[in-house]
Amino acid sequence: MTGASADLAAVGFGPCALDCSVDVPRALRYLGHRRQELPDHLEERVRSIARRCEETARPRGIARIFPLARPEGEDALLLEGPQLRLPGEAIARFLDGCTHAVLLAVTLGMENERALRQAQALSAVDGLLMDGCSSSLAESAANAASALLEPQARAVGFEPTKRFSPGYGDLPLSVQPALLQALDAEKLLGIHTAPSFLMTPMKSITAIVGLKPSCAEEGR
Amino acid sequence: MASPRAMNVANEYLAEVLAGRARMLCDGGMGTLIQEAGLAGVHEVPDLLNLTHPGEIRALQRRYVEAGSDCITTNTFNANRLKLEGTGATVAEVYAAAARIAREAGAPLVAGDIGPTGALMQPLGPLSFEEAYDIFAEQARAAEAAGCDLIFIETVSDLLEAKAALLAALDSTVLPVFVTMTFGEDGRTFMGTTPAVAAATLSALGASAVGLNCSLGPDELAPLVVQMAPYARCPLMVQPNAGLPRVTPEGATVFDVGPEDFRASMGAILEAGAVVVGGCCGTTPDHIRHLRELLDGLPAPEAPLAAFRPSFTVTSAQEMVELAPGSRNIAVIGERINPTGRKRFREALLAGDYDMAVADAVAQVEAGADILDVNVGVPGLDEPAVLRTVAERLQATVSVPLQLDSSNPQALEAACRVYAGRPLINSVNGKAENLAAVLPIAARYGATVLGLTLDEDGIPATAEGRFAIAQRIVEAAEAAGIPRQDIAIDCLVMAAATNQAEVPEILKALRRCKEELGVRTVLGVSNVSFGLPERSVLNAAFLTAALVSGLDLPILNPLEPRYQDAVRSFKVLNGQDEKCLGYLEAYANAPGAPTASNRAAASAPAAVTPASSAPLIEGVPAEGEAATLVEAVLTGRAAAAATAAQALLAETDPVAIAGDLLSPALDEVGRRYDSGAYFLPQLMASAEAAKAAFDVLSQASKAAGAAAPVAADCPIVLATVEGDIHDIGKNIVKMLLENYGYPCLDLGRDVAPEAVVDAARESGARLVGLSALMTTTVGAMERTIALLRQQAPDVLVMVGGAVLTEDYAARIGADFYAKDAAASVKVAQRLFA
Repeated sequence: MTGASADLAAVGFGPCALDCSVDVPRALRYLGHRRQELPDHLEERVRSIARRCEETARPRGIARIFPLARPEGEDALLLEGPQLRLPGEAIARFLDGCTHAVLLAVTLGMENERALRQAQALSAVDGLLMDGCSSSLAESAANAASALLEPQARAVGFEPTKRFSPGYGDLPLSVQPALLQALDAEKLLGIHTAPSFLMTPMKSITAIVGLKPSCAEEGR
Repeated sequence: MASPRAMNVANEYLAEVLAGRARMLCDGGMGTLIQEAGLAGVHEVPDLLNLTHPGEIRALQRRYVEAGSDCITTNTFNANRLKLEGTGATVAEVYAAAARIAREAGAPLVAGDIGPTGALMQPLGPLSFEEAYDIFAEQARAAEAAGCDLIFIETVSDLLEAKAALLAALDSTVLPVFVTMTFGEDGRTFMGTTPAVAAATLSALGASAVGLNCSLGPDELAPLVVQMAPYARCPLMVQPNAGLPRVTPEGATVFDVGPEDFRASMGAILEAGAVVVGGCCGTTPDHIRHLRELLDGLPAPEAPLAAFRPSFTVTSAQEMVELAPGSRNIAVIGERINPTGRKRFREALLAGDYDMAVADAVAQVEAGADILDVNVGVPGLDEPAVLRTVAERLQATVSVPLQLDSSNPQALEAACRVYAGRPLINSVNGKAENLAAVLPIAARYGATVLGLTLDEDGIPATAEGRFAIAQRIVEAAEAAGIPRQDIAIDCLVMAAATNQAEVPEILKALRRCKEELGVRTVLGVSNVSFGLPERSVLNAAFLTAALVSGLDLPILNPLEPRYQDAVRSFKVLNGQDEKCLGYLEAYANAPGAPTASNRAAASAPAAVTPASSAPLIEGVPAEGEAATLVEAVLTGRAAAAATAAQALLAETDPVAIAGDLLSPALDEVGRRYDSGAYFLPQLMASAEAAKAAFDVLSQASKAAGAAAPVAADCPIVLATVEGDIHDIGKNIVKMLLENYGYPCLDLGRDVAPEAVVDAARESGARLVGLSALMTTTVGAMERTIALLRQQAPDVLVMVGGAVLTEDYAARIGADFYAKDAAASVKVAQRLFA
């Protein structure tokens, strides 16, 4: 049996700072870049905005582990503890074979939110470039969170899945507030949700990572 | 400092605490105790336990009383109308029960607790200042009615929210109000506020104590207390967590700093000057018992507020500009955000376009402005509403403190109210009516004040005359509760061309005010050169003369290179630019390297010569300015496009330039985008370049008295629909449409159907463009279209946005579907052809 309860305490982290950076080619890909040749002045503009994005962001994240339950007769998974329901087929398939799940939340912080607004007020191009760079940075923060989590999970005998976020497949965006609540994300990271389920700061990412026992030792 | 407020102080001991001469021990955390008592899951809002389980709460609070707390905090952290909605309990009921329980538990003093609302303040979130104020006022009144002795506002991350709560409590009660904010490991709140900014702002507003609580343990908070102390003009309050949170294997959150270690760490905090102490999350009656012993063993606080430094401070929510007593540092106030003499800015304000103000702000900050003056006084404008809105817009996008500039006291009050920080009010003067109208506003909102040395008889000709008025202003300010360290006097610069003899008097008055009155000095420097040529030469010389005479706060255009040179030089001479690093960075290059003054010229884009002599696009000459303009648009270089357009105006008229060159260039850009040769940023950069050229043409047309070349005589109304806040796509559409000559009326985002209809009808628009980016908001799009059909049946509708398809657009009744920005231009072209 994997995951003695003392071991499980070693899975999870934060709130803490995350080490990440803007991936400029990726940021450009978000903006539709395929193989177009970029004029020098535009390339310089992107790099300058990427620098400003990194300077103003405060990437931070949090991860917590919860046991996963599959209550009889319900078409939703349940994270025990916060009693978070995860409905739909997609997440059920994704977490197939998992005994636990980790909830992740990362954010670039309010200063990035302000930098986005400033860029948009200055010019539509700057606004778009800052948006692309910020999305890339948020993605990089999520990757940094995964990079922290995965060795922790493996060290206690789990194989972690990739990330699955609200809004993927048929997992509705409406689970967002409860997911953030389960992480106490408002208090610990300053992430708020609006009635539309969009998060502020807008460059925030939440995700579920499944933990499968890595050696099949059931019934030993 | 807020004007003296009548306060009910419960007893002598509390009076001593408020004076900083006695210490107060509050209680510890309730969360852990409630969890241990098995009451954690009973209600979603734990404050309801006051109504359903009063005995249990009383028992928990009794434990703190027995541990030695001087003051018990009511269990009302979440008891606001937003969080209580749907529970059946009212704010008044919860506070009444909570206060009664605390009394019955034997609390020597009872503090009514107010936590954050849980909603974000505008503009980043939905909650307006007035809504927040009302919510907090209801809580404060409930706490007072319930018999609380004082009010605690705690765990706030947003300085504006803390201000709303503090003002509400000060206005609705006669109780002392303590405010603490919560800071992260990097020493800032989530919104970027530092301990120094919090202390300066909140103590100036009239808090009886300010400080820090939650998020961090005592070891992490101690250095932040040290940072706060010089700026708090009232006692300091600190309630740390029992360390940093850790999750147990069972999934519970625990804190690892035990009572002994907590007590040991609190020593540093008490040393830093905190007089009100307690514990937050994770602390227990044991922690408090240890603190009781610690406090009992200490002598009475010797020198209350010993660390306080009476500096002149102006703050935003993120930054502080400080002029400390005896310091020779200066701070530059940027003057550009002012409609006087700036036609385009005036027009932008009248059109409700505040992006220009943001652009001006950013440019001035980059050029070295420390504070930004904000003036929106235009005849016909609702100045209070606009000054408030522009202040909000600026504080959401730039971090420097603002100087609120208006001769309309209502405008000053409206802006001060929503300003997150300590603003500088420009201005008061020596006229009795003005002092009576403006000083109370400054006092109430904790602002610093700029005073002009003029009165009912005008501006005195002599230094003595100016000094006398300055004296009167200072006296009136102190009587209103504003200490002289919060005052900056402007001795009013006269034009040398007309009042040459007065120029030395200005500097003499300035020196006297600084030396004899102990106030700071301000001057609007550029007035001196009014009517003379090469104004910047005289301005820079006068600036230097004034700085040497003791000017602290020059008001000027920081973008002017000669001012930059003068300021940088002075900062070397007064030691503000330590080791001359700033000067070196600006000027250290090979001999003959660009100085600031010719750097601007050097960075202007060189003329672009096309690579080959083949025509870039059909019908356009391969060489000359025409080719340059086209090349600039194709490559997306706005400055080059504007320069080329300007040059072309010498030989061609604006309409021809727009029609024969700009339009074909944009068409080519559109083709390249459609074919995938260009991607979106390139499309937009080209649109930006075309707009820059188009603006040049517009100005020329207007100057010639002709109408600017437009492609349609009515605007196209654009909006992102109700409930949706994505507007990048809409902004791109607007940009392209405008560049093709179609004026646009942009309603922004989250726009109600009624507002779209009203705008369409009032403007005479024939086309409305709606954008929605979320599946949840397409319904709003459908409703908007339906309403338009009903009330403006002649108006055509085009729709766009990532979630839409041609099919869906047809189903919801749209006339056109634009799959991207370029397609929207085609719709307009077909419609207005």
